[in-house]
Amino acid sequence: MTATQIAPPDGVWFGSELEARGVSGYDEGEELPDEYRELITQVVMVQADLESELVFDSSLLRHNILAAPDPRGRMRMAKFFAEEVRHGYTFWRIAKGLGVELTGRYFREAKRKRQEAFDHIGAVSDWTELAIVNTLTDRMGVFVFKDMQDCSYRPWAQVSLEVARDEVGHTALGYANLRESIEKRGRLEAAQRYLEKWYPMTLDMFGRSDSTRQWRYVAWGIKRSGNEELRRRFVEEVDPLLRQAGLEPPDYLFNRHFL
Amino acid sequence: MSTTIRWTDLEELVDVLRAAHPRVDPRALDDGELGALVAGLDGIEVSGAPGPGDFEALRALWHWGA
Repeated sequence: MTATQIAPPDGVWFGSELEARGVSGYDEGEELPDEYRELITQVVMVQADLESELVFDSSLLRHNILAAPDPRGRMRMAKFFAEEVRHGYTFWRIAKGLGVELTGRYFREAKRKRQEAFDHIGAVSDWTELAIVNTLTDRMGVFVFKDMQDCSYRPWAQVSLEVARDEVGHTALGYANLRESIEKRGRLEAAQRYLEKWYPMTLDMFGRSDSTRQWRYVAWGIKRSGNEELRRRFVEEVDPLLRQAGLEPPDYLFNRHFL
Repeated sequence: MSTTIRWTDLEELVDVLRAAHPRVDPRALDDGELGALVAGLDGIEVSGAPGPGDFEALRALWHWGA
């Protein structure tokens, strides 16, 4: 790992901007400061870009569900995705509360800059790869949403608590599937290959370490931690799990695009 | 006479746990509580020791259905 700023700069702490204004948080429908509205909308849209699309185009789930090698696996994945669709609806509803109307057309025509990993997930049709994806990206979701459990936008704080709990189940199912794939189906080599593809993409999803915007999220009480802090905590948790499954996590900087 | 299940045979372990505790929500149990249920299974000896992620995987397989 490299030496990187993890803590916010002097004068910035969780909710410092709100404290200066004598405000504890905001509810849906309240007048929001311009910067606050922009930041909270960005947070919601990052999640909606992935999961709210499922509300309009469920064919995206087909590859993933059919990747399971047996009926039990498919049943579990269908239940898993039922929760993801519920998340998608929730994000859609919160976006609407912020004045953003997401439609099927939006998702078809969107030119928004999506996170690289999001564009690859729907195309995954290999069971071992899907297990790696769920082990890594859903665990990333746990960290991201737990970090926003006391978000100053109260509708999002409530959602974050629920989504984090669901994502714990999702990543654990992915990990169980990964272990089964390696131990019972002899897919260690394939799993290692997929790990080397998805591990750097997942680390990138936490955002740039030197982003100045990350501290504005902290100052407005939207996120509690900076990108690098969350990324390091993720690595501390996930690497032992990967090694337990017989895999070797890539170097922290391997194939990274957003440092 | 007891049956032996290895900690690595998570699916088998889940089947036994679910049969023994059909009303339990595994997501509500911490590692210690889940370990106590495993240790207390009648007629089942669980060999080996849980490693990192074993309780998490067990909880998931149990929750996500038979």
